[in-house]
Amino acid sequence: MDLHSIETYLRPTDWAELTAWQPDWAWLAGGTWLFSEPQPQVRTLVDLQALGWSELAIAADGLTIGATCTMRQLLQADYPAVWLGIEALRNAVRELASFKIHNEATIAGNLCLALPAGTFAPALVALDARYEVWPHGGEPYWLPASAFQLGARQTVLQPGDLLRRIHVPAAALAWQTSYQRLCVATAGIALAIAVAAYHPATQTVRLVAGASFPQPRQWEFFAPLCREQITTALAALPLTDFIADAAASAVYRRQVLGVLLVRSLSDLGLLSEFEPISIHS
Amino acid sequence: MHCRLNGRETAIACLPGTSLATWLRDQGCASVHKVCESGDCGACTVWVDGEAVHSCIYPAWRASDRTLTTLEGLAENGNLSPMQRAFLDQQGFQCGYCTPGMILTASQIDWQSEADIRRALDGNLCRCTGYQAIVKSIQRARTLEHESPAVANPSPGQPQIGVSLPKQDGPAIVTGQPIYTADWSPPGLLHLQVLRSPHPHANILNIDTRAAAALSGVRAVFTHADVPRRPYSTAGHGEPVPDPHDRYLLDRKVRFVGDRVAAVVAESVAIARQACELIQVEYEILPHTLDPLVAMGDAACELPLFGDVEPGLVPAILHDEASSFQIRDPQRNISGEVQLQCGDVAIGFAEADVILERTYHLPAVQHFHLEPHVCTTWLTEDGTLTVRSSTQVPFHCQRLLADLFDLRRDRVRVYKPNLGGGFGNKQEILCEDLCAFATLQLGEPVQWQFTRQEEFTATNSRHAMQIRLKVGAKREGTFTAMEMNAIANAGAYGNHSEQVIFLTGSFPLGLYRCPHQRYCGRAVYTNTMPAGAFRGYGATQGVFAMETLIDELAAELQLDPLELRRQQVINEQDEFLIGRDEHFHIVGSAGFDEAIAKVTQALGYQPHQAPKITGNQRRGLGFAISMQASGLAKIHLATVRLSLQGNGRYEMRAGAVDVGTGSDTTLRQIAAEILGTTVSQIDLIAADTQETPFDAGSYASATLFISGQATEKAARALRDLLLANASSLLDVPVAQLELVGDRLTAANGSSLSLTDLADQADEKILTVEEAFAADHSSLTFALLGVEVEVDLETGRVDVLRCAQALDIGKAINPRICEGQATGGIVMGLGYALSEALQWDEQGQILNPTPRTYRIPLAKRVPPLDVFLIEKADPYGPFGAKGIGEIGTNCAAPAIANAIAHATGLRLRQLPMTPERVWTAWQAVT
Repeated sequence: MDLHSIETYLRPTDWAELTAWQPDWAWLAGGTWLFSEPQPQVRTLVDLQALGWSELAIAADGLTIGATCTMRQLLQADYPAVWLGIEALRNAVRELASFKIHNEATIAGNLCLALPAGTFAPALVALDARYEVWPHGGEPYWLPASAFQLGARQTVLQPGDLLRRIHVPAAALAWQTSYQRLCVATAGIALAIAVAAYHPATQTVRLVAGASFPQPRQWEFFAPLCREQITTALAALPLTDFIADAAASAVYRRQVLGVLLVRSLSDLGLLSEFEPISIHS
Repeated sequence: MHCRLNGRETAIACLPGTSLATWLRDQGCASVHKVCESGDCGACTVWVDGEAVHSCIYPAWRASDRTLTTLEGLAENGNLSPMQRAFLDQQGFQCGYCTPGMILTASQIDWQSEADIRRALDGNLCRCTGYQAIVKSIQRARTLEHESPAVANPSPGQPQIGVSLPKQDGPAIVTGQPIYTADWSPPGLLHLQVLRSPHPHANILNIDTRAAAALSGVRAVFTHADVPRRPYSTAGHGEPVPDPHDRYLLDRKVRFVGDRVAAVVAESVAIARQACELIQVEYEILPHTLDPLVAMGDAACELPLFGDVEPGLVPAILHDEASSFQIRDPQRNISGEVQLQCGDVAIGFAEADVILERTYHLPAVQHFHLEPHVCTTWLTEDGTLTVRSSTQVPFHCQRLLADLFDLRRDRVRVYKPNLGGGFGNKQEILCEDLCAFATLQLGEPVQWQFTRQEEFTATNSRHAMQIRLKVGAKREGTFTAMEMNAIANAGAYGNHSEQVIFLTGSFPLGLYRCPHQRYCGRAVYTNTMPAGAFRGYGATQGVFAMETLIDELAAELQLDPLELRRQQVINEQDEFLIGRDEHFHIVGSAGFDEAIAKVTQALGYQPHQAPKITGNQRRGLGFAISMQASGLAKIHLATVRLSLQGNGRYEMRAGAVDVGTGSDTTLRQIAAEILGTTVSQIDLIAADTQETPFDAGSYASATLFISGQATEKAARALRDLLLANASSLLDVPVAQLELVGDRLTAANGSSLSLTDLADQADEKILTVEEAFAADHSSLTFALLGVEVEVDLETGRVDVLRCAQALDIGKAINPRICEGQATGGIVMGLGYALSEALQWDEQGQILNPTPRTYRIPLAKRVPPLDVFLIEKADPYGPFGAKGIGEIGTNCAAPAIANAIAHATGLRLRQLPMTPERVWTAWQAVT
């Protein structure tokens, strides 16, 4: 939609041009969210596209995703066959809207938006990703994906800070993954997302939950697991930790999250009907 | 900045926050339709450097140095693309508003299977077709690459009815022509926007408009102090208007979050919006109520089946103003009430072997017609107020505007171009009033287009209802008594409510033979968005209650649910008892046995069939029936004027409104049949108060049944006239003359062309005008069967198959009828499973976007089998009956009954979300 309050459109070609930052400025990456709602507080758009940060780099040490890399780039690239974990990222794209959105929307933009139902955050947490933040007027730093999102619509980024790139280590990309998601309708805003990542060599299973909580949550187990371990892990959380809103109650979110976690394990052949062996978190 | 737009270098000059969609429309690319403006619906899809994007969420400035293609630029050298031809060939559209985006999206889908196509349409919403015709079009495009589509157009003299002629506006739709209201406006256009109330109930103590008025580009700011205070109803009904007159152009009081507070007219939408934000309002907050049972106060206790209401509550009164009238009981917030009775239910229940009594909860849902409410108003040189509007009721709109502003009716012209859907929400006059006022004040053209958020929060919904239903039956399955009470949430204004609650009781109760019936319906004001007309018009809610309870009763009596219905449903031998004094419903034809045979065969259903259980997945089958009348008897008037023109072509002037369904085509099929010509020989001028004779408008499934009979009468009269003229010119008796194509031929071989006839007769003489109002309204029946799969772990319900049989008398255009049926089923699917407007404690709607209010996507829709049962009805044109609404009614109860078959769960609240199904399952395990 038209953003009636916008007075200035900046299109820097060099990061060094951006010395000032005002509270009523906003980064424009894909624009697919920014232009989807009224933004009455924003007066200036800073378009990132001309900075040349759309890299999708495939290297021996892993995958690097630039600030303006689109979902389509991620979906269509060729990856080393051993990177089984890419499937989780591809599913994160497929589960998010139509292919026309993929053509423009960025992965970094989706992370910065920090919607609880964001499709990428749980997958990147599961794959040990790290993010490079360029703070406004400060030195760039890296942090783990799990430390980035602080709550619903809340990240570590301060005004003017930028998520410059995402790195997914090759070791984690070798993990097997399963991605499960459920909405009220066939599509829309998820009520629960479950990502399971499995490392056969160590028999480690990492489970990450999205959409049920304000930010992703993770657990680690040794495979195989049984249903009761999931139930126990979720029952250990206070119900108030789960999101309750007009779309679904906390009790229901907990239920479907449990179901999806079990299905993700089953999908990877990791579900056992035996008693739990051990749990570590 | 420059770009290449449809092959032409174009400079980009616009405000920096402008979306590409807006900029493209400003460049004259009318095919770019703005619907959701949030990247969800795909109606604005264009190609940027050859890739499809949602242009509403694409910054216009980013298009610099890129190549842009809109639907206008798709055809090469005047040749339609294969996808455009495929959409024409398979008629992959109804209203056509989604079509440009569908075609540009579909052209880029890489698919192997139908499922691939449906998945790839995640970013494209259609509310008319149910997607089936769209998917078929996309499949057809592959095989059309090297061949041209076969268009089955019958020749003159061949049957013109019973033939699936393509919609005559198809070529304009698939090429993105500027055929909708917002696609044309006079020069010097100003834009109106309104400030809406943030409070559910408040008096306006003071409005300071100075800052808004001082903003550069603002031409006027209007508040309640500036407008005539004259009560009216937004409901588009004929005279005498039956509805509460409780609405004002702008009022001193606001009654729901979203109610109009003040209006700004400015040189652009952006300026008008900014000016609205600058208006300072001082409110006196009043107590508010969102629950109709609470809003009625003590009156709730009077309803026999709602006796458990707490007495002594004193509700906030919404309409305490003295000037409003035709409100049933303003002190108790009752906007309308309907009581119907036949026999004595006490006697009937005493005779019953089994009595079931249940309560049902139905949500408010939104129409989501793709084209928003939009109108443009201006004064012509002679001072006529001209209104170009997306309305289902141009003539009612004309009357209302004339009354509001003390104008002679012939000084007000209302007309509609193509409509991008309405579904009842455009049987409301919601934007024309203020827009016309602004034009009258300023003397300049003004346009007002609603945003999607306004559609969700400030138009109308289907009525949310609580229905209590009690049915008594004998062991063998005859009904002894039925009693229904319905409480409808009217919202803040009364508009259609009383008429809606009439149908809630009368159709479901009237559907079955039962000697003792009683109904009481009440529509109650609350501080929520008003409820209004919506396809099904109250019957949809009542049918859900009746059809799920009948199913439950069948289980209780150990009878097959279809057999029970077959034995008890009314047929041609029965009289429609309940409410007969007010309406004139009649069973002209009914084809239930055939309908049951078709549907059960399609689904492979056997009586007492067991559900299929695979782990936590359960599959079951469910059925529902319903009926809906064809228009309103006595009061729904339609007029048609037909002429033979000097060039030998016919001209048809009809007030009838094609909402996108195709009635402009079907009405001409009727005329062509009688005149021995083809649709293409009839020039149509439709729905224009200045250019066409009166027609009540498009609602109540009336167009084909009533406007169709006016057309039939006019065509017969013109044919008689032409024959009589030719008879004297050729000196041959009328009985020996034949009219076929462009020629009148006598048995003796002499003949006369229509052009010659027109030459020799005064053109005025070769014009007829005929009006029609039905004495009776014939009932259309429908049966829907569905198969569902329920996931007991998550409660998710998938509809796997649907088969619907409609007893429609005669299908004038079978494909258009099927389109109404499939579209209706899918709208019902959304009502059943996912759609509901939700509001918080302040009455603020929580899900006013398509991302949070979920209408069905293509991938949710299963294969739909539609069977048109043709058993000619003696009351309709060529035996035809109405079909516009009925398809919607059966989906929710059929799905609920299938869930019950699969799981034993009886869900009595819509929508049947995964959470509700799962919660119900937890309660029994």
